[in-house]
Amino acid sequence: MSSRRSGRKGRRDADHATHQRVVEALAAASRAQDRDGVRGLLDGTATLWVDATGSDEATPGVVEGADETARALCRVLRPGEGTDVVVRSVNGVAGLVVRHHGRVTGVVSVAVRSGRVATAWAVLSPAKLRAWNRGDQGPGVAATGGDTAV
Amino acid sequence: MTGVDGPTADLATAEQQFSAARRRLFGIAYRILGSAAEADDVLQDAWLRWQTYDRSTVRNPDAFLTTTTTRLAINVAQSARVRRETYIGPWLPEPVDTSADPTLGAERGEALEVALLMLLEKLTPTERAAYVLREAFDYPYEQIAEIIGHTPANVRQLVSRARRHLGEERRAPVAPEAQRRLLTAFVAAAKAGDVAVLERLFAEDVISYSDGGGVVRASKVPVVGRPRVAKYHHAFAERFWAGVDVEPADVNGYPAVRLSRDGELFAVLTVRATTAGIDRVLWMMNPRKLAALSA
Repeated sequence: MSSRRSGRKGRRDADHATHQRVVEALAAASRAQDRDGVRGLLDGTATLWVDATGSDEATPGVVEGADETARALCRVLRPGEGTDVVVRSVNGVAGLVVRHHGRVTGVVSVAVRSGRVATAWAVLSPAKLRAWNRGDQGPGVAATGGDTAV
Repeated sequence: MTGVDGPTADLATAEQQFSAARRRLFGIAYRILGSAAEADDVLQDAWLRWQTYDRSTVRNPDAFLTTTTTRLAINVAQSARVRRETYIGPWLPEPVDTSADPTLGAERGEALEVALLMLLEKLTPTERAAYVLREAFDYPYEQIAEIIGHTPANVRQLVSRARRHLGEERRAPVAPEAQRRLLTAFVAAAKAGDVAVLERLFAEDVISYSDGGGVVRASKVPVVGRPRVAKYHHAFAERFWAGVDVEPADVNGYPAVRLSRDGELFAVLTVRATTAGIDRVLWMMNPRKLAALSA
Protein backbone atom coordinates (compact mmCIF):
# COMPACT_ATOMS: atom_id res chain seq x y z
CA MET A 1 0.00 0.00 0.00
CA SER A 2 2.61 2.52 1.11
CA SER A 3 5.06 1.34 -1.54
CA ARG A 4 2.42 1.73 -4.20
CA ARG A 5 1.72 5.24 -3.00
CA SER A 6 5.43 6.19 -2.95
CA GLY A 7 5.81 4.65 -6.42
CA ARG A 8 2.99 6.83 -7.61
CA LYS A 9 4.65 9.81 -5.96
CA GLY A 10 7.97 9.09 -7.67
CA ARG A 11 6.27 8.97 -11.03
CA ARG A 12 4.40 12.19 -10.22
CA ASP A 13 7.64 13.98 -9.29
CA ALA A 14 9.18 12.93 -12.61
CA ASP A 15 6.04 14.09 -14.45
CA HIS A 16 6.17 17.43 -12.65
CA ALA A 17 9.83 17.94 -13.59
CA THR A 18 9.04 17.32 -17.26
CA HIS A 19 5.99 19.55 -17.02
CA GLN A 20 8.05 22.37 -15.50
CA ARG A 21 10.70 22.05 -18.22
CA VAL A 22 8.14 22.20 -21.05
CA VAL A 23 6.35 25.21 -19.55
CA GLU A 24 9.61 27.11 -19.11
CA ALA A 25 10.61 26.35 -22.71
CA LEU A 26 7.18 27.56 -23.84
CA ALA A 27 7.64 30.83 -21.93
CA ALA A 28 11.09 31.33 -23.45
CA ALA A 29 9.91 30.61 -27.01
CA SER A 30 6.94 32.95 -26.67
CA ARG A 31 9.12 35.71 -25.23
CA ALA A 32 11.40 35.36 -28.25
CA GLN A 33 8.32 35.38 -30.52
CA ASP A 34 9.65 32.12 -31.90
CA ARG A 35 6.58 30.45 -33.39
CA ASP A 36 8.56 27.49 -34.75
CA GLY A 37 10.00 27.03 -31.28
CA VAL A 38 6.49 27.02 -29.82
CA ARG A 39 5.28 24.57 -32.47
CA GLY A 40 8.21 22.28 -31.66
CA LEU A 41 6.96 21.96 -28.09
CA LEU A 42 3.48 20.86 -29.16
CA ASP A 43 2.10 17.41 -29.87
CA GLY A 44 0.95 17.05 -33.49
CA THR A 45 -2.66 16.78 -32.31
CA ALA A 46 -2.42 19.57 -29.73
CA THR A 47 -5.52 21.61 -28.95
CA LEU A 48 -5.97 25.01 -27.37
CA TRP A 49 -9.12 26.02 -25.49
CA VAL A 50 -9.74 29.68 -24.99
CA ASP A 51 -12.20 30.93 -22.36
CA ALA A 52 -12.53 34.62 -23.20
CA THR A 53 -16.10 35.46 -22.31
CA GLY A 54 -16.36 39.14 -21.46
CA SER A 55 -12.97 39.99 -22.98
CA ASP A 56 -12.82 42.79 -25.56
CA GLU A 57 -9.62 41.57 -27.14
CA ALA A 58 -9.83 37.80 -27.50
CA THR A 59 -12.29 35.40 -29.08
CA PRO A 60 -13.39 32.26 -27.24
CA GLY A 61 -13.06 28.93 -29.01
CA VAL A 62 -11.03 25.79 -29.60
CA VAL A 63 -8.23 25.34 -32.12
CA GLU A 64 -6.73 22.01 -33.17
CA GLY A 65 -3.44 20.82 -34.59
CA ALA A 66 0.13 21.94 -33.89
CA ASP A 67 0.17 24.72 -36.54
CA GLU A 68 -3.08 26.39 -35.50
CA THR A 69 -2.37 25.92 -31.82
CA ALA A 70 1.12 27.42 -32.14
CA ARG A 71 -0.27 30.45 -33.99
CA ALA A 72 -3.07 30.98 -31.48
CA LEU A 73 -0.79 30.43 -28.47
CA CYS A 74 1.67 33.00 -29.79
CA ARG A 75 -1.21 35.45 -30.06
CA VAL A 76 -2.34 34.72 -26.49
CA LEU A 77 1.22 34.93 -25.16
CA ARG A 78 2.05 37.96 -27.26
CA PRO A 79 4.93 39.80 -25.73
CA GLY A 80 5.36 43.46 -26.43
CA GLU A 81 5.13 46.89 -24.95
CA GLY A 82 4.31 46.50 -21.28
CA THR A 83 3.48 42.80 -21.57
CA ASP A 84 5.40 39.94 -20.05
CA VAL A 85 4.96 36.21 -19.61
CA VAL A 86 6.03 34.53 -16.39
CA VAL A 87 5.98 30.96 -15.08
CA ARG A 88 3.91 30.57 -11.93
CA SER A 89 2.35 27.77 -9.94
CA VAL A 90 -1.17 27.46 -11.36
CA ASN A 91 -3.49 24.84 -9.88
CA GLY A 92 -0.56 23.05 -8.32
CA VAL A 93 1.67 22.84 -11.40
CA ALA A 94 3.70 25.22 -13.55
CA GLY A 95 1.61 27.46 -15.78
CA LEU A 96 2.00 30.72 -17.68
CA VAL A 97 0.77 34.07 -16.51
CA VAL A 98 0.47 36.98 -18.96
CA ARG A 99 0.66 40.45 -17.44
CA HIS A 100 0.05 43.77 -19.07
CA HIS A 101 1.59 46.64 -17.09
CA GLY A 102 1.49 44.37 -14.06
CA ARG A 103 -2.16 43.45 -14.49
CA VAL A 104 -2.90 39.77 -15.17
CA THR A 105 -4.67 39.44 -18.52
CA GLY A 106 -4.33 35.70 -19.10
CA VAL A 107 -3.48 32.43 -17.39
CA VAL A 108 -2.48 29.41 -19.47
CA SER A 109 -2.40 25.84 -18.14
CA VAL A 110 -1.10 22.90 -20.15
CA ALA A 111 -1.24 19.11 -20.08
CA VAL A 112 2.06 17.51 -21.10
CA ARG A 113 2.15 14.07 -22.69
CA SER A 114 5.37 12.35 -23.72
CA GLY A 115 7.31 15.57 -23.24
CA ARG A 116 5.04 17.71 -25.41
CA VAL A 117 2.03 19.92 -24.86
CA ALA A 118 -1.08 17.89 -25.66
CA THR A 119 -3.67 20.42 -24.49
CA ALA A 120 -3.49 24.06 -23.49
CA TRP A 121 -6.21 25.96 -21.67
CA ALA A 122 -6.12 29.76 -21.80
CA VAL A 123 -8.32 31.73 -19.43
CA LEU A 124 -8.63 35.31 -20.70
CA SER A 125 -12.05 36.03 -19.26
CA PRO A 126 -11.64 39.06 -16.96
CA ALA A 127 -14.21 37.70 -14.49
CA LYS A 128 -12.05 34.62 -13.96
CA LEU A 129 -8.89 36.65 -13.41
CA ARG A 130 -10.21 38.87 -10.64
CA ALA A 131 -8.51 36.92 -7.87
CA TRP A 132 -5.19 37.26 -9.75
CA ASN A 133 -5.53 41.05 -9.61
CA ARG A 134 -6.69 41.32 -6.02
CA GLY A 135 -3.29 42.34 -4.67
CA ASP A 136 -1.71 40.12 -2.07
CA GLN A 137 -4.91 38.36 -1.08
CA GLY A 138 -4.74 34.69 -1.82
CA PRO A 139 -7.72 32.57 -2.81
CA GLY A 140 -10.33 32.09 -0.13
CA VAL A 141 -9.14 34.97 2.00
CA ALA A 142 -12.27 37.03 1.63
CA ALA A 143 -14.86 34.87 3.34
CA THR A 144 -15.42 36.27 6.81
CA GLY A 145 -15.82 39.76 8.15
CA GLY A 146 -18.36 40.83 5.54
CA ASP A 147 -15.69 41.45 2.91
CA THR A 148 -17.56 41.68 -0.36
CA ALA A 149 -14.72 40.74 -2.65
CA VAL A 150 -15.71 41.96 -6.08
CA MET B 1 -17.62 31.49 29.72
CA THR B 2 -21.01 32.51 31.08
CA GLY B 3 -19.95 36.01 32.14
CA VAL B 4 -21.00 39.28 30.54
CA ASP B 5 -18.51 38.72 27.72
CA GLY B 6 -20.11 35.36 26.94
CA PRO B 7 -21.64 36.03 23.52
CA THR B 8 -18.67 38.08 22.30
CA ALA B 9 -16.14 35.52 23.44
CA ASP B 10 -18.28 32.82 21.90
CA LEU B 11 -18.35 34.63 18.56
CA ALA B 12 -14.58 35.05 18.68
CA THR B 13 -14.25 31.30 19.24
CA ALA B 14 -16.59 30.65 16.31
CA GLU B 15 -14.46 32.87 14.11
CA GLN B 16 -11.28 31.13 15.19
CA GLN B 17 -12.77 27.74 14.43
CA PHE B 18 -13.88 28.91 11.02
CA SER B 19 -10.51 30.52 10.23
CA ALA B 20 -8.65 27.37 11.19
CA ALA B 21 -10.71 25.34 8.73
CA ARG B 22 -10.98 27.96 5.97
CA ARG B 23 -8.15 26.87 3.64
CA ARG B 24 -9.36 23.30 3.63
CA LEU B 25 -13.00 24.35 3.18
CA PHE B 26 -12.00 26.52 0.24
CA GLY B 27 -9.99 23.64 -1.23
CA ILE B 28 -13.05 21.38 -1.03
CA ALA B 29 -15.49 23.92 -2.48
CA TYR B 30 -13.11 24.95 -5.26
CA ARG B 31 -12.55 21.36 -6.39
CA ILE B 32 -16.29 20.66 -6.42
CA LEU B 33 -17.06 23.87 -8.34
CA GLY B 34 -13.99 24.69 -10.44
CA SER B 35 -14.59 28.30 -9.53
CA ALA B 36 -12.85 30.35 -6.87
CA ALA B 37 -15.58 33.01 -6.97
CA GLU B 38 -18.31 30.43 -6.35
CA ALA B 39 -16.19 28.78 -3.68
CA ASP B 40 -15.85 32.18 -1.95
CA ASP B 41 -19.64 32.56 -2.02
CA VAL B 42 -20.06 29.10 -0.52
CA LEU B 43 -17.64 29.94 2.28
CA GLN B 44 -19.43 33.19 2.93
CA ASP B 45 -22.67 31.26 3.23
CA ALA B 46 -21.13 28.61 5.46
CA TRP B 47 -19.78 31.34 7.73
CA LEU B 48 -23.22 32.97 8.04
CA ARG B 49 -24.77 29.63 8.96
CA TRP B 50 -22.06 28.92 11.49
CA GLN B 51 -22.44 32.38 12.99
CA THR B 52 -26.19 32.06 13.52
CA TYR B 53 -26.29 28.35 14.38
CA ASP B 54 -26.87 27.09 17.91
CA ARG B 55 -23.24 26.08 18.25
CA SER B 56 -23.73 24.67 21.75
CA THR B 57 -25.34 21.66 20.04
CA VAL B 58 -22.33 21.04 17.79
CA ARG B 59 -19.87 18.50 19.15
CA ASN B 60 -17.33 18.64 16.34
CA PRO B 61 -17.15 22.10 14.71
CA ASP B 62 -14.72 20.92 12.04
CA ALA B 63 -17.03 18.12 10.88
CA PHE B 64 -19.99 20.50 10.95
CA LEU B 65 -18.19 23.07 8.78
CA THR B 66 -17.00 20.45 6.31
CA THR B 67 -20.49 19.03 5.97
CA THR B 68 -22.09 22.46 5.56
CA THR B 69 -19.52 23.57 2.98
CA THR B 70 -19.69 20.36 0.96
CA ARG B 71 -23.49 20.35 0.84
CA LEU B 72 -23.64 24.02 -0.13
CA ALA B 73 -21.07 23.40 -2.87
CA ILE B 74 -23.06 20.44 -4.22
CA ASN B 75 -26.15 22.68 -4.41
CA VAL B 76 -24.28 25.45 -6.20
CA ALA B 77 -22.74 22.92 -8.60
CA GLN B 78 -26.20 21.69 -9.50
CA SER B 79 -27.40 25.17 -10.43
CA ALA B 80 -24.07 26.12 -12.06
CA ARG B 81 -24.53 23.28 -14.52
CA VAL B 82 -27.32 25.14 -16.31
CA ARG B 83 -25.36 28.39 -16.41
CA ARG B 84 -22.35 26.64 -17.93
CA GLU B 85 -24.46 25.20 -20.70
CA THR B 86 -25.32 28.69 -21.87
CA TYR B 87 -21.79 30.06 -21.42
CA ILE B 88 -20.41 31.68 -24.57
CA GLY B 89 -17.53 29.60 -25.89
CA PRO B 90 -15.67 26.95 -23.90
CA TRP B 91 -16.10 27.08 -20.13
CA LEU B 92 -12.81 26.56 -18.28
CA PRO B 93 -12.21 26.33 -14.54
CA GLU B 94 -11.11 29.55 -12.87
CA PRO B 95 -7.34 29.16 -12.41
CA VAL B 96 -5.92 29.58 -8.90
CA ASP B 97 -2.51 30.86 -7.88
CA THR B 98 -0.88 28.05 -5.89
CA SER B 99 2.56 29.61 -5.36
CA ALA B 100 1.98 29.85 -1.61
CA ASP B 101 -0.11 26.71 -1.12
CA PRO B 102 0.64 24.10 -3.84
CA THR B 103 -1.95 21.61 -2.56
CA LEU B 104 -4.62 24.22 -1.87
CA GLY B 105 -5.56 23.14 1.60
CA ALA B 106 -5.53 19.43 0.82
CA GLU B 107 -3.54 16.48 2.15
CA ARG B 108 -2.35 15.94 -1.39
CA GLY B 109 -2.45 18.14 -4.48
CA GLU B 110 -4.90 15.69 -6.02
CA ALA B 111 -7.84 16.83 -8.18
CA LEU B 112 -6.44 20.31 -8.69
CA GLU B 113 -4.84 20.39 -12.13
CA VAL B 114 -6.97 21.94 -14.86
CA ALA B 115 -6.88 18.70 -16.88
CA LEU B 116 -8.49 16.82 -14.01
CA LEU B 117 -10.96 19.58 -13.16
CA MET B 118 -12.15 19.40 -16.78
CA LEU B 119 -12.73 15.66 -16.36
CA LEU B 120 -14.50 16.18 -13.03
CA GLU B 121 -17.06 18.29 -14.91
CA LYS B 122 -18.35 15.02 -16.37
CA LEU B 123 -19.29 13.63 -12.96
CA THR B 124 -22.45 14.44 -11.03
CA PRO B 125 -21.89 16.97 -8.21
CA THR B 126 -22.31 14.23 -5.57
CA GLU B 127 -19.85 11.88 -7.30
CA ARG B 128 -17.46 14.76 -7.61
CA ALA B 129 -17.73 15.66 -3.92
CA ALA B 130 -17.17 12.04 -2.86
CA TYR B 131 -14.15 11.75 -5.16
CA VAL B 132 -12.61 15.01 -3.94
CA LEU B 133 -13.06 14.23 -0.22
CA ARG B 134 -11.54 10.79 -0.68
CA GLU B 135 -8.70 11.45 -3.14
CA ALA B 136 -7.50 14.91 -2.16
CA PHE B 137 -8.45 15.08 1.52
CA ASP B 138 -8.15 11.44 2.61
CA TYR B 139 -11.52 11.37 4.41
CA PRO B 140 -12.62 7.88 5.45
CA TYR B 141 -15.61 6.49 3.56
CA GLU B 142 -17.74 6.46 6.73
CA GLN B 143 -17.22 10.17 7.24
CA ILE B 144 -17.86 11.02 3.59
CA ALA B 145 -21.10 9.05 3.92
CA GLU B 146 -22.18 11.29 6.80
CA ILE B 147 -21.14 14.43 4.97
CA ILE B 148 -23.06 13.76 1.77
CA GLY B 149 -25.89 11.80 3.37
CA HIS B 150 -25.35 8.41 1.74
CA THR B 151 -24.45 4.96 3.08
CA PRO B 152 -20.72 4.08 3.24
CA ALA B 153 -21.27 1.30 0.70
CA ASN B 154 -22.87 3.80 -1.63
CA VAL B 155 -19.94 6.19 -1.21
CA ARG B 156 -17.43 3.45 -2.04
CA GLN B 157 -19.38 2.84 -5.20
CA LEU B 158 -19.52 6.54 -6.09
CA VAL B 159 -15.78 6.92 -5.64
CA SER B 160 -14.86 3.80 -7.58
CA ARG B 161 -17.20 4.76 -10.39
CA ALA B 162 -15.60 8.21 -10.50
CA ARG B 163 -12.10 6.71 -10.48
CA ARG B 164 -12.97 4.34 -13.28
CA HIS B 165 -14.53 7.12 -15.29
CA LEU B 166 -11.52 9.39 -14.83
CA GLY B 167 -9.00 6.58 -15.30
CA GLU B 168 -10.43 5.73 -18.68
CA GLU B 169 -10.52 9.33 -19.78
CA ARG B 170 -7.21 10.27 -18.32
CA ARG B 171 -5.20 7.66 -20.12
CA ALA B 172 -4.20 8.62 -23.55
CA PRO B 173 -3.34 5.96 -26.09
CA VAL B 174 0.30 6.06 -27.10
CA ALA B 175 1.64 6.59 -30.59
CA PRO B 176 1.98 3.55 -32.90
CA GLU B 177 5.80 3.58 -32.75
CA ALA B 178 5.65 3.50 -28.95
CA GLN B 179 3.09 0.66 -29.11
CA ARG B 180 5.49 -1.24 -31.35
CA ARG B 181 8.39 -0.66 -28.97
CA LEU B 182 6.31 -1.88 -26.03
CA LEU B 183 5.29 -4.97 -27.97
CA THR B 184 8.93 -5.77 -28.83
CA ALA B 185 9.94 -5.31 -25.19
CA PHE B 186 6.99 -7.45 -24.10
CA VAL B 187 7.93 -10.32 -26.44
CA ALA B 188 11.54 -10.24 -25.21
CA ALA B 189 10.45 -10.26 -21.55
CA ALA B 190 7.82 -12.97 -22.17
CA LYS B 191 10.41 -15.18 -23.89
CA ALA B 192 12.79 -14.72 -20.97
CA GLY B 193 9.94 -15.20 -18.50
CA ASP B 194 11.23 -12.12 -16.70
CA VAL B 195 8.51 -11.25 -14.17
CA ALA B 196 10.11 -7.98 -13.04
CA VAL B 197 10.37 -6.59 -16.57
CA LEU B 198 6.87 -7.78 -17.45
CA GLU B 199 5.44 -6.01 -14.40
CA ARG B 200 7.18 -2.83 -15.42
CA LEU B 201 5.62 -2.97 -18.89
CA PHE B 202 2.07 -3.59 -17.65
CA ALA B 203 -0.55 -1.15 -16.44
CA GLU B 204 -1.88 -2.03 -13.00
CA ASP B 205 -5.20 -3.30 -14.40
CA VAL B 206 -3.78 -5.19 -17.39
CA ILE B 207 -5.92 -8.04 -18.77
CA SER B 208 -4.66 -10.94 -20.84
CA TYR B 209 -7.15 -12.72 -23.12
CA SER B 210 -6.58 -15.96 -24.95
CA ASP B 211 -8.76 -17.14 -27.78
CA GLY B 212 -8.19 -20.79 -28.51
CA GLY B 213 -11.56 -21.18 -30.16
CA GLY B 214 -12.17 -24.22 -27.97
CA VAL B 215 -9.75 -26.15 -30.18
CA VAL B 216 -6.35 -25.13 -28.89
CA ARG B 217 -5.49 -25.41 -25.21
CA ALA B 218 -5.46 -21.87 -23.89
CA SER B 219 -6.61 -20.13 -20.73
CA LYS B 220 -10.39 -19.76 -21.11
CA VAL B 221 -10.78 -17.02 -18.53
CA PRO B 222 -9.02 -13.69 -18.83
CA VAL B 223 -6.08 -13.18 -16.49
CA VAL B 224 -6.39 -9.88 -14.63
CA GLY B 225 -3.93 -7.61 -12.81
CA ARG B 226 -0.23 -6.82 -13.11
CA PRO B 227 1.30 -9.52 -10.86
CA ARG B 228 -0.97 -12.30 -12.12
CA VAL B 229 -0.52 -11.53 -15.80
CA ALA B 230 3.26 -11.37 -15.32
CA LYS B 231 3.32 -14.73 -13.50
CA TYR B 232 1.03 -16.24 -16.10
CA HIS B 233 3.45 -15.39 -18.89
CA HIS B 234 6.38 -16.55 -16.81
CA ALA B 235 4.70 -19.93 -16.20
CA PHE B 236 4.61 -21.10 -19.81
CA ALA B 237 7.68 -19.19 -21.09
CA GLU B 238 10.17 -22.03 -21.08
CA ARG B 239 8.30 -24.62 -23.16
CA PHE B 240 6.27 -22.24 -25.28
CA TRP B 241 8.90 -20.16 -27.06
CA ALA B 242 11.32 -22.89 -28.14
CA GLY B 243 11.73 -22.88 -31.94
CA VAL B 244 9.23 -20.07 -32.45
CA ASP B 245 9.69 -17.57 -35.27
CA VAL B 246 8.45 -14.06 -34.50
CA GLU B 247 7.58 -11.59 -37.25
CA PRO B 248 5.93 -8.19 -37.02
CA ALA B 249 2.36 -7.71 -38.28
CA ASP B 250 -0.58 -5.35 -38.01
CA VAL B 251 -3.97 -6.37 -36.64
CA ASN B 252 -6.85 -3.88 -36.71
CA GLY B 253 -4.38 -1.04 -36.68
CA TYR B 254 -2.56 -2.37 -33.63
CA PRO B 255 1.04 -3.57 -33.82
CA ALA B 256 1.12 -7.37 -33.56
CA VAL B 257 3.49 -10.28 -34.02
CA ARG B 258 2.84 -13.53 -35.88
CA LEU B 259 4.23 -16.61 -34.19
CA SER B 260 5.03 -19.70 -36.23
CA ARG B 261 6.70 -23.04 -35.69
CA ASP B 262 8.23 -24.93 -38.61
CA GLY B 263 6.74 -22.39 -40.99
CA GLU B 264 3.24 -22.81 -39.61
CA LEU B 265 1.39 -19.86 -38.09
CA PHE B 266 -0.06 -20.87 -34.71
CA ALA B 267 -0.65 -17.59 -32.86
CA VAL B 268 -0.96 -13.86 -33.32
CA LEU B 269 -0.11 -11.70 -30.34
CA THR B 270 -1.40 -8.15 -29.96
CA VAL B 271 -0.98 -5.65 -27.16
CA ARG B 272 -2.73 -2.36 -26.51
CA ALA B 273 -0.97 0.33 -24.54
CA THR B 274 -1.84 3.66 -23.00
CA THR B 275 0.32 6.09 -21.07
CA ALA B 276 -0.19 3.78 -18.06
CA GLY B 277 1.54 0.89 -19.88
CA ILE B 278 0.27 -2.23 -21.64
CA ASP B 279 -3.33 -2.74 -20.54
CA ARG B 280 -4.45 -5.50 -22.95
CA VAL B 281 -2.68 -8.61 -24.15
CA LEU B 282 -4.51 -10.69 -26.73
CA TRP B 283 -3.40 -14.20 -27.65
CA MET B 284 -5.17 -15.24 -30.80
CA MET B 285 -4.74 -19.00 -31.20
CA ASN B 286 -8.11 -19.86 -32.69
CA PRO B 287 -7.26 -21.91 -35.84
CA ARG B 288 -10.28 -20.63 -37.74
CA LYS B 289 -9.44 -16.97 -37.18
CA LEU B 290 -5.75 -17.59 -37.82
CA ALA B 291 -6.61 -19.10 -41.18
CA ALA B 292 -8.28 -15.81 -42.10
CA LEU B 293 -5.21 -13.87 -40.99
CA SER B 294 -2.69 -15.99 -42.83
CA ALA B 295 -4.54 -15.47 -46.12
